[in-house]
Amino acid sequence: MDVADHASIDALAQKYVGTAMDVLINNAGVSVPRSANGEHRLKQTFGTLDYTAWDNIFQVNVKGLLKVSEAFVENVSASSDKTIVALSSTMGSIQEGALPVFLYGSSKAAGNWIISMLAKELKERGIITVSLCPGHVKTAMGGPIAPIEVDDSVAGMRKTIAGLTLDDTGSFKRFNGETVAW
Amino acid sequence: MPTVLVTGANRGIGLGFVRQYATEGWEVIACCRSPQSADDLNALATQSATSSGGRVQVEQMDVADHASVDALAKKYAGKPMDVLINNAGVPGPRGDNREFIFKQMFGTIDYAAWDDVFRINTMGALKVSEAFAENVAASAEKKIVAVSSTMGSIQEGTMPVFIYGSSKAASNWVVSMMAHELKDRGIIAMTFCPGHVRTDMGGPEAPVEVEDSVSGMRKIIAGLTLDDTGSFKRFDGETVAW
Repeated sequence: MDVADHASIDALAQKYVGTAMDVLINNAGVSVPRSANGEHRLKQTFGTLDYTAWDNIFQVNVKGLLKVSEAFVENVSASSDKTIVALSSTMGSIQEGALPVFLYGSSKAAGNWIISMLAKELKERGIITVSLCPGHVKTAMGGPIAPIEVDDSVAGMRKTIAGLTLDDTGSFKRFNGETVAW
Repeated sequence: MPTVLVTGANRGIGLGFVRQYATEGWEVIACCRSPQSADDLNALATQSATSSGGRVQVEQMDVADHASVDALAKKYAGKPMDVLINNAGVPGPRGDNREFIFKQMFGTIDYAAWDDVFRINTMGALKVSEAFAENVAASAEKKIVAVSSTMGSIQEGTMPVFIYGSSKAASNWVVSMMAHELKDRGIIAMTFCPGHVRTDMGGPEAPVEVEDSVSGMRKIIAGLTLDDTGSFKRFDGETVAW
């Protein structure tokens, strides 16, 4: 499934019709791919923005998030845990974001709005919807000097997910359980 | 007199800004997609040529067409612009009856229609700001404002209008980050909710008149200091939560 290819999402949803899904993790996300000469930073910097790159990020991080949630909401609704999470980033926080990475950051802000509104829309059906910041993780996106190991970030988020109740819907939490401001 | 550039100047709130700033004697650069059909704006411009108020210069610029943004920026290179008003925006997919609402509701989202809204409301405001930042930096007032909406607030938005709302949330992040980026240069960047205004977008039942919304925002703009950069305010001066 490619979250930017809605036909592939619909096909997978059709394949799993009727299967209960306890936790839906909207993890797929992109930024401008890293380049050795630092050009990827310029593409997201005010004054040298690359709008074509922004379009691609928007297709995956924003539209993809909502489309996947829309396609599998009945599966989540039919489960016992009824949880939809999105991997966001503190970089998408208007109040806490400090890095001027315009394309990625704004896409995560749009994703946060979507998650927050989904929480309001789906609460009556008992569905819990949250945004998570995984921390700065040692991945292809996070880069080799990132301080957090994948295992630790994921273990923290899984623990947070396991403890979620409907009171937590619409929240934005770091992998260690701290609340992130919008 | 100071200069203001307004996008989406042909109708609604944008036209209101043009009218009021011109009346006060400001030089107004009024931008819209299709000047040839902007009858009300063209009438204001004609009137301004012979009145005692400020001049209104109508310019073609489609904020989603970056070549048109770059062309206008080139034309005005070196010209100080005191206030840049990113007003151009669209509500999302149109349709008969209530079809346009369904296209933005969870379960029946029109993904094809989303791209234009994002390109105009989010990318457009940033592209225009990027293109005219030097003009603003060269002015006395140094102000960039965006007409956003409480619907784009994560904490206060209550309407599940997914396409429009998320485009404004992304735009709010953009303006907030521009405020951080441009503060060293003395530029003030902030976001407005104009209220629910009686325009083509707001509909005929909307409670706020264009004149009142615009005069409220203009009063706030006039009083902005660098301490206000990065803020989100309603037209009546109240702070909107992010």
